[in-house]
Amino acid sequence: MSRDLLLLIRLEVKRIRRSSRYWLRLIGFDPLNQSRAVQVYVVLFWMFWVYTMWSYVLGQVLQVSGNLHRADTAQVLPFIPFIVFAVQVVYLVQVLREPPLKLASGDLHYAATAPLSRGMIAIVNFVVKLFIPALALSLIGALAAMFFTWNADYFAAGLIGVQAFVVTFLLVYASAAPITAVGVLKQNFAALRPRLMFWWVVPIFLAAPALIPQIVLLPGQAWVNLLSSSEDGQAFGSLIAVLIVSLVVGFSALIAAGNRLRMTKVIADSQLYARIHKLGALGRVIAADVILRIRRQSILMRRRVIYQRMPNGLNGTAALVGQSLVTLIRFSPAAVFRLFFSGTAFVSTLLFSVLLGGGISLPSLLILYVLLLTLRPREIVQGFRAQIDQSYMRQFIPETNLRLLVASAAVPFAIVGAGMLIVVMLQSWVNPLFGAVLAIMVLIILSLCLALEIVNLKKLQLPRIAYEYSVLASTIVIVLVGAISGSALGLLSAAGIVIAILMMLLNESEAI
Amino acid sequence: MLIVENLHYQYGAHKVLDDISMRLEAGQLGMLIGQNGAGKSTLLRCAAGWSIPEKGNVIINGVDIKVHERKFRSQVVLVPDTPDFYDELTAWEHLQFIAQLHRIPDWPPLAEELLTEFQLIDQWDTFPFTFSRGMRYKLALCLALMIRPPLILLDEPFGPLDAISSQILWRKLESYAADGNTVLFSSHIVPNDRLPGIILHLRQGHVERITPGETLNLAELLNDGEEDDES
Repeated sequence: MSRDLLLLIRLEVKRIRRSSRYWLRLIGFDPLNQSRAVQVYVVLFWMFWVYTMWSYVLGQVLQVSGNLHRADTAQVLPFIPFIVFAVQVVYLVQVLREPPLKLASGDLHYAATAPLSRGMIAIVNFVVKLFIPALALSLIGALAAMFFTWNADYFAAGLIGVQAFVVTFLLVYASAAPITAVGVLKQNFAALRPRLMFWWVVPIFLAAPALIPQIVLLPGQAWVNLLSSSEDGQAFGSLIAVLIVSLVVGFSALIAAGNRLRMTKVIADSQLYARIHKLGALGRVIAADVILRIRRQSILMRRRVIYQRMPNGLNGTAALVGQSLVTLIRFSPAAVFRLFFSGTAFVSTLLFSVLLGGGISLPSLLILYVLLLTLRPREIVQGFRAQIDQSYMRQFIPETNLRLLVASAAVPFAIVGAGMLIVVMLQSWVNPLFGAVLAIMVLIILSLCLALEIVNLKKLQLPRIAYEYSVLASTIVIVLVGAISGSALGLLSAAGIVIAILMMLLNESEAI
Repeated sequence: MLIVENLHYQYGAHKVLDDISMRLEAGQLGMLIGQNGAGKSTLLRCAAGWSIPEKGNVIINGVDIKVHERKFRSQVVLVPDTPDFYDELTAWEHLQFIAQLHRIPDWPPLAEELLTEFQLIDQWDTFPFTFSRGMRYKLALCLALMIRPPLILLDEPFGPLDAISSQILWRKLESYAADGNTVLFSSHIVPNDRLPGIILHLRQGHVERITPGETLNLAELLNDGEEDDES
C-alpha cells in the first residue's frame, strides 16, 4: 500500500511540476529558455506583486476592522459555527450530486487500470484537488481572524492570523475527508439517485444543528474559540492535536471507502471530467462555451424522460420562439429563475450606479459604461448564438439576423425584463417610468451589441464589431446627447437612435 | 438550375478556386471529383452562399445572392460532411421545427417516411448529438429532403454511410433530380460504381467537365488528370 502511495505521489509531483511550468511560462517565466538574471527578475516581480496585493487586501480589512467597535464585530461571531456548517452542507450536496472521485485522462488510462490500491488513488486525488480551495479558505480564515481581533489587540492579531491559517487549513481537510468518504461510498451505488439523496440526506443534515449542536457546530466553534485563546499556547496545541486526529480518522474513512470502489464506475463517471480537464486551466476559461455545451449534452444524455415537447401549431417565425422556449426549459427549468434574478440584479446595479453618480450626470454615465462592459447579458443572446454557430441549421431559417435575434431572444428577454421591471417599480431612487424605459433600452442595446459581435458584416465591408467597441460607441453617443440636452427625454432619444443604428447593422449582416 | 461564373476564392495567398465557371440544369445530377484539398468543399460552400468568393457570381434559378440573399437561400440546401444540430431537440423535433418554420402542411407522414427510409425511425426521439457520423448525415439528408429545395449540394455524402444507406441515398438523389431538381455532390466513391451523367473534375483551381466512358474507375479518372499535368 505504501508503495502505491509513493508511486501515486511521484505521479502527482510530476504533474504539478509540468503544470507549474505551464503557469510560470504564462506569467513570463520560462525555466528552460531564460537567463538566470531574467528568472530572478520575474520571481522578484511576482513576489512583489503578491506581497502588494496581500498588503492591500489586509490593509483594507484592518481599516474596516479599526473603524468598527469590538462589540459590533463580536455580534457576528456566534454565526460563524453556522457558516462553517453551511459550507460543509454545501460540500455534502456537491459530493452527493457529482461523484467526488473523477480522474483526468492520464490517470484514466494508466492509474485506473493498474493494480493500485483504490483507497490510495482516492486519497491522493482528494488531497491534490482540495489543496487550492483549502489554501484560499485558509487565507480567508486568516483575514477573518485578524478582522475580528485587530480592534482589540494589534499585536496579537498577527499571531492569530497565522494560527487561524493553520487551523483553517487542517479544518478544511478534516471536515472534507469524511464527507468525501460518504460521496465515494455513494459513487458505487448508481441506483441511489442524487435527487433522492438530496431530499433525504440534506434535510436530516440541516436538522442536526438543532438536535446535536455540540457535535455539528464543533468545527466552527473551535475556530471561534481560537480567537479568544490565541495567547494560550497549550490551547492552540490541543486544538491542532484534535484536528490532526480528526484528519487521520477522516483519511482512514476515505481510504476504506475508496478501497470499496469499483473502478469501472469511476472510469464511467470520469469521461466528461477527463474531456474538460484536457483543455487545461486556461483553456477551460477561454473555451467556457464549449464546456457549457459538453455539460449540457451530458445532462440531456442522462435524461430518461424528455420534458416539454416542441409546441404544435406554431408556424413561421413563431416556431423559432417555440424552439427557444423548449431550449430554455428542457435543459433546466431553473434557467427561468436564473434569468429573472439576473434581470433584478442587472437593473439594481444600474440604478444604484445612477444614484451614486448623482442622477443623469457625466460621472454616473461613465460608471454605467464600466458596468455595461462587465454585465454582458449572455443568456439573452445564447439562442441566437447557437443559431449562428450552426450554419447547417441556420440555412433552413428564412429570416434576417435581426428577426432571428428578436425571435430567439424574445423569451429570455421577457423573463429578464420582468425581473427588471419589478425592481424599477419597487425602488424610489429614480422615476419608475424613466427607469423602466431606460433599463429596457439599455438591455436592448447590450443584446444588439452582443449579437453584432457574433455575425459577419462583410457585405457592409466592416469587420466584426467587438462588444466593447459597440458599447463604447453607444455610450459615447448617449453620454454626449444626454449631457448636452441635460434631460431624460434627450437621453432616451439618444438611446433610441443607437438602437436604430445597431438594428440596421444587424439586419444587413450575413445570415451564414 | 445552378450557374457559377468566374468564381475566385483564396485562403490567404493560396488560390483554391481560380476563375471557375460551370452550369448544371434542372433535373441534372452532378458529381464533383478532385483530390484532397482540390477545393471541392469550398466550391460547394460558395455555391450555397456559405462562403463569399473574392470574385464571381453564383446564380440559382435566376437568383443572384448579391441581389436577393433571402430568396437565394430558399433555393438551396448544403449538407456538409459533418452537420451540426441543436443539442436540445430530438431528431423528430428537428423535422418538426423545420416543417413548422417552412409552413409545410401535414408534415408528420412525410417526416415519418423520411426517417423510415433512412433507417432512423427507431431513433426518432433521440438527441442527434448521441448519433454516429453516419446517422447524423442521414438526419441532415432528411431535413434537406423535407423542404425540397430546387438545388441540393452534398459534401462527401457516401463517406459516412453504410452500403445499404448509400444505395438508398443514390436512388433518392436520382429520383429527386428526375423530379426536376438539381443535385451536385462531391465524392471519392459512388455505390456500385454507378457514375452520374455529369462529372466535374476540380484540379488546380479549375473545373473540367468529364463525360464518363466505359471505364467507371474514379481513381483512374483522377490519376489521368494528374498524369496530364505532369506531362
